[in-house]
Amino acid sequence: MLSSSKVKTIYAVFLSIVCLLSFNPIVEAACGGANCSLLTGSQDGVLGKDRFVMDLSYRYVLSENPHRGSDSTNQALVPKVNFETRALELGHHNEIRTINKLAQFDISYGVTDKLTLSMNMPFFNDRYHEHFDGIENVGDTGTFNNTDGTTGFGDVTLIAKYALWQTTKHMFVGGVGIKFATGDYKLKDTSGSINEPTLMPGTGSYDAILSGIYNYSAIPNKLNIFTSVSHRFATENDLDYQFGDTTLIDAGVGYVLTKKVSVSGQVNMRISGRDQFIDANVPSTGGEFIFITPGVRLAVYDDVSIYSHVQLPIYQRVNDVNLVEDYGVMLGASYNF
Amino acid sequence: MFELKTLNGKVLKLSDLKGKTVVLNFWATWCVPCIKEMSVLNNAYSSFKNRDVEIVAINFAESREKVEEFTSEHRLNFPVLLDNYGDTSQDYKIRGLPVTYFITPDGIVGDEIVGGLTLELIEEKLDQLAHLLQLKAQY
Repeated sequence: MLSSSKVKTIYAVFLSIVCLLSFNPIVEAACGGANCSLLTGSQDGVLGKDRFVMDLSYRYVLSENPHRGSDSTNQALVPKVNFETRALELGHHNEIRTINKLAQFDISYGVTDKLTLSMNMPFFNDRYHEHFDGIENVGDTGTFNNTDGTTGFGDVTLIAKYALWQTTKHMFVGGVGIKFATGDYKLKDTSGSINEPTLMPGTGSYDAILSGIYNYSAIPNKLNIFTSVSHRFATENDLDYQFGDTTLIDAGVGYVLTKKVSVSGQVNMRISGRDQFIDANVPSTGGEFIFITPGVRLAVYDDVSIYSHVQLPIYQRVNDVNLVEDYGVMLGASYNF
Repeated sequence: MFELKTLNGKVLKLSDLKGKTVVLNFWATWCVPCIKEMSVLNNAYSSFKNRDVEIVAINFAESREKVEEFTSEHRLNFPVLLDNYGDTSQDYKIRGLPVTYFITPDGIVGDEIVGGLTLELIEEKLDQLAHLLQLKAQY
């Protein structure tokens, strides 16, 4: 079974990517008949009035590195959440590998020059994982299993972003959002019981998200420096399971190399709280993770660009023991109109 | 309020223009409404230079090469300054282009026009400014 940190990883990568996608270092002025606004805010995820951005992306995240705390270890023995007996079965299975593949569609609309609404739709989650199951005693190797992965539609998030402070070179954008429980969260595993919450495409909970993004245009149209913070307030689902809150802190730079090519570099930090089941902490959930994320964006046409980001861990600490991320890759295309 | 380099590398400060009314235009080569105004500014430069009026254009954060190419193509006859890092635009709280400020001989921003610049409008603003300065001098 996957541990809770896996879904958190997926969700946090998703949230990070929301920030990544919202960063478009190519400042495109919105020109009317008599005036071109410099405050399009496209670099902060706030669009000009009546502007749309559609984005399609694909992410691949590999985790096969067992950690105890912040150190590598030789195995990740994690608990099972048993919803039938309403119990945590400690040391239940040994994690081997998890591969998360996620396809997502995002659409943003500029309601006003300051207010943008975004919808993030993870329409295809594919979670492949391998573990040794049925470990009952210390020393047992268990039975290899790679058939408990899931595939499905995930949780949709709606976010409203508002430019609270805009000047020629500075911008601060605040955001509030809701993550809806649109994805499956009661799928059955191969033995017929409700699968681990962490294996599900959705969390089953309605969560609140608060975010803030600051952007400094060091050299307009050339070099941007930005930082962002977001926090997800998780709630309990009707299985009495609650994912831990997640805080994301990002900082980075974007540089326009040519009219068509821009590059970016970010440091992303994620802090995840422990999950809870019937008000008890779930072992092997939560931790702190820091990544560096280089990226490149290529403008194919004036209104279409393709991009790629690679997320590489530089520090990962899990509570207790669990697999950590080896790397993540994201490919995408966006269309502005 | 500004100190920027011209295309030939000389530094021009607002204080260098003390005693003259300054028509300060912010623009960029990618800004279509700005391009439309350039011929107006060219005409204004010729028409008002005998009125102690200085026309100055500040380019928003583009390369010297690009601006030089543009100025020679459009045969601009007034000084063009380079705001490479956008700091002067930040100081003037520029939110869109083009925008034109009318600065009194003692360095105070008297009026502004956001887009839609015409020779008549410039003349009207200069007359208003001159009238205000006369009133100020009287009292």
